[in-house]
Amino acid sequence: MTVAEALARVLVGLAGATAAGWAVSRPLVSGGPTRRERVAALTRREGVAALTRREQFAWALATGLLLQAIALLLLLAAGIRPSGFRLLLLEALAAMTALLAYRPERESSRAALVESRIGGPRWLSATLLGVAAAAWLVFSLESLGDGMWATDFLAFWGYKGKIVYLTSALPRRLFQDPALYFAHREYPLLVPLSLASLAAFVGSWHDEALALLYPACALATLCALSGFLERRVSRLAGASAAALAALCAFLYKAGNAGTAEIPFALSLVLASSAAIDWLESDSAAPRVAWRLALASLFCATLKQEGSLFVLLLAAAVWLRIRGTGKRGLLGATGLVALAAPALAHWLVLFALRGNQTRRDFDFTLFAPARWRELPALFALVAGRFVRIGWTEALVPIVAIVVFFLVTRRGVGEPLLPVFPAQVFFYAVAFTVSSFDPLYAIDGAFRRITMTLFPAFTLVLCSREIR
Amino acid sequence: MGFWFDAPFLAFLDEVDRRVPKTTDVTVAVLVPRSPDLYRFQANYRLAPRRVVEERWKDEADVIATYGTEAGRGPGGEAIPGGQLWVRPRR
Repeated sequence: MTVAEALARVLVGLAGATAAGWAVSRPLVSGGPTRRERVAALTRREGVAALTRREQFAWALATGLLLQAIALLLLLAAGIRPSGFRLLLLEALAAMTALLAYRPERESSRAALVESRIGGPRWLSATLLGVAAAAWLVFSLESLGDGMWATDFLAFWGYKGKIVYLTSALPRRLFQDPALYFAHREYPLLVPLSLASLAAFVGSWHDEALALLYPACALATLCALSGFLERRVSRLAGASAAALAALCAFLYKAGNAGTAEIPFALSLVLASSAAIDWLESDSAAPRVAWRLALASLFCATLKQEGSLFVLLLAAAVWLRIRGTGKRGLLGATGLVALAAPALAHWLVLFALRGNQTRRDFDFTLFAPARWRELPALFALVAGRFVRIGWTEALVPIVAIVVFFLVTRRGVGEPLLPVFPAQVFFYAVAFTVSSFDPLYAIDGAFRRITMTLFPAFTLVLCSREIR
Repeated sequence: MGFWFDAPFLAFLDEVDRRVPKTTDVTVAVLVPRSPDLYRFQANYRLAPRRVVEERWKDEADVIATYGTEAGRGPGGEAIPGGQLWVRPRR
């Protein structure tokens, strides 16, 4: 099979998942703003409208990947060998059920009620979007130019996907074989299941064509960023965020194709945008809470850090709604929407794979007898973080600080504490690493921190010049 | 890019892949240099869905493939690019 043919088949798989995801996520992402949002928008002369088509595409892809993984698991559970046709059939069934069950009201299907703000010269927004598109194109060509080769792809993400595809099963061996001690048996499975599903469309394990998943996720991330900020802030803010995220070369590089980082960045953007929508919207809008739940599930099924992020997001949301009209049952809805899917996913994964030791961490360091070792280890880790920041990221860090000084709060402000808190917990994790903490930091810190950057641009670009 | 650390290792794995049945009930012990880890990861990935194990589990193996190590000097193996291959009679 030629590469072009294999790519076309993966594209069919992604398009099928996105179409089914669009149908299923339609009740959550379609519909215009609530009455309160319309009044607030008119009062503040701000652009609040229905989710943009770009955001709807991003939500559709995320929902579609989850649906496709569920369809694959259903086929495996039934002992049926997955194929592109069978997966499409199940996806079509889900889509038709969703389309029949949900008929949008005439009013809610109306397009934007308030014209979004331009926010600056049109040529500037167009140029920034052009930069984002060019950077995305370079990343796409780079990642499709060779079979995926990242260490984490070979050791577990791709390896598990290949095993699932080739055996048409989720073998117990993946969770129990001591020879696979390095394969992170505790990790979530959405990336391996997505790769295995797309391989079923190709009809073989074609690791060059399967890399198409990554440009698709990167595109959805940029669409979600630009669409959300255009809706909530201005067109220029959206274009700026898309350009900044697309130029994040530590994240969008061929070396990350095959890992979970790029889909994970998409999940963080969706969760953050849903959280801002929830904080800003009418508390009686259940579709926003459902969006939170969907994003939470997407985060948790991609990486363990995803569960941490949604829990921190829930804490930020809780801090924000204290003292507002969203206290009580309605306020709790948002928190439950964030926490429950992550918890439910963990329980399902636990049932599937049993109790797994986390070889990355030495939890005995939390025992009282070893507490005195922790400060020195934490200082070592923090020192390494500072050194990396000083030698490799000083200019962007200073630029961000200056930007915060010359701008005023935006809609993304309540989420700001989530990002340093997430990095703090990374420091805690490295502190209790089973390996040399410095070795672990050098191997993973840049990569896992950079996955936060696209979501962070939501906070950054929602701010306005004083 | 996947074999930047040792380009000839690809030919070795391809030959093992060609000679050993592609079934899940076959265990292949691949004896490779200890570092970088990529030797082991590539062997696992390339030879899937077979069960690939390291030297410490070689007693469980149906096939032993050695590459670039002293362990490849034993008698009776078949020479393959960059190494040796021993096939144990099925028990």
